[in-house]
Amino acid sequence: MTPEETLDRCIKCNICITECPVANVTELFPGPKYEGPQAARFRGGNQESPDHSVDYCSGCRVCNMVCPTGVKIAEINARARAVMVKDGEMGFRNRLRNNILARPELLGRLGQPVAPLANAVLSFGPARWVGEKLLGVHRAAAVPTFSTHSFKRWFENRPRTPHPDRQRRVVYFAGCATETYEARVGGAAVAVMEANGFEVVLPKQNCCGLPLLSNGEFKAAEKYHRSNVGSLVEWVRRGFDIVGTSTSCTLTLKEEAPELLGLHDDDVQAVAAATYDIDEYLRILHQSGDLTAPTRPIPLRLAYHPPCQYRGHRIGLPAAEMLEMVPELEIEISDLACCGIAGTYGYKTEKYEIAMKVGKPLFEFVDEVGGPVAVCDSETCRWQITAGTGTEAVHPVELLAYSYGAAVDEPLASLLP
Amino acid sequence: MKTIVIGAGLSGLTVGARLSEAGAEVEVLSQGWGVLHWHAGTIDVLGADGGGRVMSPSAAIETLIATQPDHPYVLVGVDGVAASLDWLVATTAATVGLSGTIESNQVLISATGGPRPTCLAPRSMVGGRHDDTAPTLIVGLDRFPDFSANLVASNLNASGGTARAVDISIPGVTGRTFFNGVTIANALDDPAITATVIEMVSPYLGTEERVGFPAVLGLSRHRQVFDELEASLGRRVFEIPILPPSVPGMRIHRTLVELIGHHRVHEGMEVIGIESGDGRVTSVLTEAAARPNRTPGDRFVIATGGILGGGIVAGYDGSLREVVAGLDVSGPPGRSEWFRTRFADGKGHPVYRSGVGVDGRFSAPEGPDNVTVVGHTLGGTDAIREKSVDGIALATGYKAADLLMGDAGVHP
Repeated sequence: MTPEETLDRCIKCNICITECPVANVTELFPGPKYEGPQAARFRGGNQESPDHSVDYCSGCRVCNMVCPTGVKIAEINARARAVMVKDGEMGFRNRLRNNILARPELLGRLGQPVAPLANAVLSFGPARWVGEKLLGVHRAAAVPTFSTHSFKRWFENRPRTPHPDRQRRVVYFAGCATETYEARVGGAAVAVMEANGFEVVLPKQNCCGLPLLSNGEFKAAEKYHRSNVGSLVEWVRRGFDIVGTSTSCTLTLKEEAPELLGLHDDDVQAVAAATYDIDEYLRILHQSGDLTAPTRPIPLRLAYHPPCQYRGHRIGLPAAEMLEMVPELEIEISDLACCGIAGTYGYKTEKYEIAMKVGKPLFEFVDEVGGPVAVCDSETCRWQITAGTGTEAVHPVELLAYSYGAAVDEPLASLLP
Repeated sequence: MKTIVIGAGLSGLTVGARLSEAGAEVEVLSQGWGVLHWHAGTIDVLGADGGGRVMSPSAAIETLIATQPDHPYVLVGVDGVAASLDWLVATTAATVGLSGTIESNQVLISATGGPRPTCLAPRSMVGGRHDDTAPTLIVGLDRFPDFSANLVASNLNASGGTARAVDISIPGVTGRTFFNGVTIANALDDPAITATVIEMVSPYLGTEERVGFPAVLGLSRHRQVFDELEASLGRRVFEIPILPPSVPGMRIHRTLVELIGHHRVHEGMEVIGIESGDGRVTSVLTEAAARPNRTPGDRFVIATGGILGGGIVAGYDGSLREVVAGLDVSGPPGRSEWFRTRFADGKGHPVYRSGVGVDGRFSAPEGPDNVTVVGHTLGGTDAIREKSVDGIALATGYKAADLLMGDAGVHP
């Protein structure tokens, strides 16, 4: 069933509108019911979108989650946006801007090798002002800092300790953010999998294409996805599972790319079926009694925000379940729908204010809990939390890595003995 | 012992909240939000029987138990229903403040200004008695399609009341292209907007002793909004339920979810199958990205609703099926027997009485041992016609939770 075919299930109950974080803070987006199932009735046969406000959908999927009848509202909206883009209705500047924002891999290749310089430019006020005026990237939006080393290089050059206990092997899907900005998250993932007796392999991979998908740039996204599938499927056919730490990358491999692009061939399906969020994977190990328990205590009380893209997997909160196993660690779980950033959404000048308004209750929650760091599974959400609160944020797997006895990077390193 | 509750309507959340209160491990899975977002925020226990409007639910339930052996209230008994009401009154005391007793129904003003019998009403509604003839001002909102103050006032006047209607505009709210009850309630959570409403309503007040509003008086700050209005207007204030999305129902939803712990209530997880062994269910499978997600547990509670809620579906051949565990569903044998010929037949349509039959432990006789069925998945009544929808959900959930607590060795 295509996303559009689910619209007939809509009973017009309005629950999606009551929960939509965007519609709750701006009139520019009338709400999921209007944009999705209702407007889609006027979009048959590749017609143009009847209402350009669909571009204000952040794609957080809260509407899908609360819908009592299973309408795929967020996907309907994403596909309507793609038609707008294809029909040349996005505007030249915005399309140029979106294509730059949506290519984290390219930005990483350009920026990471010259990290100190690139970081200096990105934190230089006048440069950001020019970026805002010229491209429409908001000057105050949360940009991350490039790592001084790329994850891949670290992985390939790390000292290898042969380990007879590592009977099982798993593919790690790093994602652009780990590769370029937060190599520490990848290091933690490797440590956690190794602590559970896995040999981790890092096959050829590229950007998952989600930023392009959420900007309606489907053609470019398809190229990325096909390339990933082409490389990963070889490993899947040999019996490997794929784990990832970027919750939006894993969701893209599992579902977003196949569903939005209408790709359902055997290879695409095999890769989707073998892909797991890392904590989802650890929970399955736990359920079958194969998990090594994390034992090193973490005497901290921290705010944990399960991002909307994580909830979008529809797997409950496995990261929270894993963190509950860490001795002494206290986790306060946020029930807030979205941090506002929604990938590239909150970077755009016309959407920055909306993103900050959406994130406000979460920022207040993080401030109220008041730990030295916050915890969140998604990279852009971590950056948004930091931008909104001044509190640095880590991935759950970093806390697990520490609890498994591994060395961790900043910001955890100086917080923990 | 871990209990997995399937469904987050009133019955499922009641089971979840009671188990949580008692310290038992529980998780709630639901396809999405439902019932309580469409819910008037009042608890109907029994509003109509064959003889017309019910004034005393307790007396009518006694009769019903004696005459309808398949009715869900038989499983709970009058005392059980009363205990469940007491529990909900205590549970909501700090939020919506439900009040009322099983001995008598309150008759409140409906969205069209008619009489509406209900058993428990929140403190924001008890001032809206339909038979109260005190002069009343009904406040509507300009351009708000979900509530007509004029309609309410004219119907009240037609039935012997004294009512006047006025529509006000709230800057920044009623001027929006799109707004609904929740938009307005969220706006009123801002004290400045509440103050504006007070300012706009005050000049219209004359001899009126009470002021009725659509049920949008705040969501997270509801109590304060209500108290500020009563204090500043110097009149009794009451809310009238409106079309969904319904703010008073959402307040109860939030109260119960908070009690369970929001991180133990998972929306967006539709149960699509079970795994079992040795006559027991071991886990449920839910729809998820790429592959079904498995949730193991020791006890499973089916609180998915009936035909309306999606817990029971019909096949084209006229067969009826319980969606989670495929339990036997009693009901008319074929499609031709589902409905009577007249749409508005006073006897109701047979298909609406269909559902899963259970024993005194809320287990289906042929079903797995560790599966409990509550709420409207149970058959034996046409609850909408009977005005017992909330009472059945609440009371069966409450009673089933007692049994589950006994099994888990915990106490309320």
